Amino acid sequence: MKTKIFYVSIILISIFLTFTCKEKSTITNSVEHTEAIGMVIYYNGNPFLRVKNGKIDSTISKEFSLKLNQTLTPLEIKFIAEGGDEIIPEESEKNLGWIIDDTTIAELTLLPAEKWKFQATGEKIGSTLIEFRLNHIDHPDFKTPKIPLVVLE
Amino acid sequence: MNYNICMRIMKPIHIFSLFILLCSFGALAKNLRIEGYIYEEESKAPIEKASIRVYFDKQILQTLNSDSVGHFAFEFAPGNFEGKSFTFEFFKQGYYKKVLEVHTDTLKEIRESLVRINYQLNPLEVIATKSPNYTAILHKYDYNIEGSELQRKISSTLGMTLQNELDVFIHSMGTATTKPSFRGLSPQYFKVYENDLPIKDLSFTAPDHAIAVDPNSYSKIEILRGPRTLLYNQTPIGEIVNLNKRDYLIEKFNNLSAESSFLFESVNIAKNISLKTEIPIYDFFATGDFEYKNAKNLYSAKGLIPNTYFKSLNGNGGIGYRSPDFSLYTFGSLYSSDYGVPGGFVGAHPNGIDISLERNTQSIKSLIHTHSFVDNIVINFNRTYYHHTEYEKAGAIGAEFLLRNYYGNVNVSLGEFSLFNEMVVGSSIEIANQKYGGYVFTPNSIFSNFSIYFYQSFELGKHSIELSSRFTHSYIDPQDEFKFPKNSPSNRVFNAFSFSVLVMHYINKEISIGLNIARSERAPTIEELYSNGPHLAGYSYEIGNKDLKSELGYSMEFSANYNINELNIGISFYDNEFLNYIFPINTGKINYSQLLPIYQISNTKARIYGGSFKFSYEFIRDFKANLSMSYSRGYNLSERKNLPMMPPLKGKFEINYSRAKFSVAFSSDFTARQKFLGDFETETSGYAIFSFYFRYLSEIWNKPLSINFAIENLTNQLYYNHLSRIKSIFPEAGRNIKISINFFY
Repeated sequence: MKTKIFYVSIILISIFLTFTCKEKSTITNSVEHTEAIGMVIYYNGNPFLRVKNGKIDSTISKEFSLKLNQTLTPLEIKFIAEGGDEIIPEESEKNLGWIIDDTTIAELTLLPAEKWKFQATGEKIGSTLIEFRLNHIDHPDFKTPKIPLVVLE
Repeated sequence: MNYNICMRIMKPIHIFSLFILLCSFGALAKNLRIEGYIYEEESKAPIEKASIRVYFDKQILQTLNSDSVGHFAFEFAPGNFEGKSFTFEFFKQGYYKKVLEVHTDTLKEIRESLVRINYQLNPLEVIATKSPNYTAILHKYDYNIEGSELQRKISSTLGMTLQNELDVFIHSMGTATTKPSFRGLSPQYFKVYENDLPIKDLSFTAPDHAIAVDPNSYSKIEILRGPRTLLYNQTPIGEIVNLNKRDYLIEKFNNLSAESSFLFESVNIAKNISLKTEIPIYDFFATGDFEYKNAKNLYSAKGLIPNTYFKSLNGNGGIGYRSPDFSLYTFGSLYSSDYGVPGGFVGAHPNGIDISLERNTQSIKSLIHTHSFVDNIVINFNRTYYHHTEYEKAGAIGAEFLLRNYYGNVNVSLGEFSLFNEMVVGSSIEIANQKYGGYVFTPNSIFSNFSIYFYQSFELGKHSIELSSRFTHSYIDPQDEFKFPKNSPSNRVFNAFSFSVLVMHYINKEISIGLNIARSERAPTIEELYSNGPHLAGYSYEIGNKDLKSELGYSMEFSANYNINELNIGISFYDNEFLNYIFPINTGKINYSQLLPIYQISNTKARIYGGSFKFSYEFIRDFKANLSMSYSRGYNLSERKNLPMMPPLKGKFEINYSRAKFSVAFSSDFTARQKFLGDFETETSGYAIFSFYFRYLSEIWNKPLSINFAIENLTNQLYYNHLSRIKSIFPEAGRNIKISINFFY
């Protein structure tokens, strides 16, 4: 009986060692998520478009407005933190993104070596919608509602 | 002399049989001793608590019950038995009563013979069919899916395998994530166990989390409802699925055996290979199995659904020791899976995500058989390691979960006394360490609980009564509270008490009715208490509630069954009234970072009610028609509106033809339109799909071979599942050709 118990014990220990040797003990959760409630786009240092709490600040502009074949540059985006401060994310995983419903109306491109500055060109007369995003890798930490994007003559 | 007594097998699909595999007759100097074992025919499992009554000269000599290993022993004082017969009656709820007459002259010869050969095996078989009055099965409180039925239903995931069960509805977010839901209740009310030990994963925390098991590695799926569930967890109004291979602590096998199976499904080019073996080595035994699964993206009637692939590897190994007084079985398993979750719909990851998970377990099960008033003591221990990583594009980690869980329990089964059939008292303890990483807003937490419980069943006249209760003390300790300034977590303690009473009444031989009343109370989960962030899969921003009370509900279910010859009709109605249903309530506010509606987890008053119906009729010999329907409706009483993600009416109609070697079936699965919608839900149309099934049993080298062939969704119908998170853009599976082959040797 003692021999049997000995064998069983050896097998038990072997099974536990075999099945636990490659386990991970910690995971990192050091990523900071940006809790923004809005954003401001500056053109030549002046407010060009402002969105806060899901609404467009119509005292600055009701829409993202461009003229045909006109390129606005540099446009700079800053995000509004919960306390009202304007911030520019510094983490390497954060980046700027946008979704234009009709990409033939206008073209936006990031300026070389810049993450938060971009330019916009009116490509075709018409209107569409644009959504700006503060992306964290693939998912948005922040996104605006759909903003009218208008290209005029 | 021939001791084989075989009753005609009237319904081969439903056969369960009594086996007296061994009945040795020994003689002491003066007393006459008769002993043996009772087994089920198909599973070879010992039958515990079977009653055996011995008559002599029309007088009852003795009555006793088989013990947990199916063993029984009579001992009679010397008497004049010559020239007359002993009559043995074997009966147990769920089986036909079996009567066996043995002439005492014969018995004398055997006794002498056995004295001479000194307890060598001398098989004596009694075969009987399952009683149609087995109420727990007929009322669907306790039944198994195994053998040919399991081979037919088996699929790549547990959800798909159980999708046609009564009261089971399927949630999904891509093929790998299909998960059963019982009667539209939350995932907390559908728990999965493996060999009576809980499967610990995070499948209940989010719709994109898969259940970390491979159903192909099991030989039996045991489905439990009612009072007996309190032996497992705190929610008696839910359902438990216990996945088994064999109860190695009490089931004995004498020969080396192996099984290999192959499953192919065309709808996602899925290939499943499974190998299982059992090796007896004197008093020891070894077990092992290996499963490999690989499936590509799923085809629907609308085309390919991107990022729905999955693959998995599963391996189990164990070794055990068994003796009449003590059994031990220790086993470990490694499960890993990679699967995709489609994206592109509102609120989800734009390109979908890739998930990689692994679950390792080490378990010890032991049984001490005391052969006394305390019939047996079962002691179990289980350790689980679970790691789950969600990758966004470019392989970047979007979310990560790590769980270590330690679980142990002790169950003491008491022998029969007075009118009580079965009594189990027990206790369990669980400690878990849960960690979160990436884009997840829940604090790392340590969770522990301690439970005591009991279960009792007895017969009282024409009533069969089961009752049980369970008390659980839980403690949840969130870590690094300072990192979560909003909804700052704090330690919580919960005491939960549940009970369940089931009364079955036999009106007559054909009709039985049942009433189940239960109180269900459970502690909230870590996510329900402390989550504080966007839930992309749910298109919501969920804020936990650290002040939550326990979820508390009362339930009543009435069921009735009519069973006569070839006809069986069953019906049940249930009503679950929740005083505190833990549920996310729409606050009417918007999170301006994500533009997602903010839901606050709250204790809500809710009602979930419904019913089910089943009908089975053998209208011509070997031809049978089956119909089953399930319905559930959920209502938020606090806000006076529908609960979301409630399933519409579903059903299945089937006609099958079965003979000894083959069976054929045509079936239609149908679902009604769902128009009772919760917040942000859209209506889902009803549908009907048709399927065909063929099974053939053959032999190769005198070893059984089973071939199953099916075409599901014959017409390639385009249809949507209301409980699918991706139904706004992706339909369900298109036409599927399914082939499985099982070979036993």
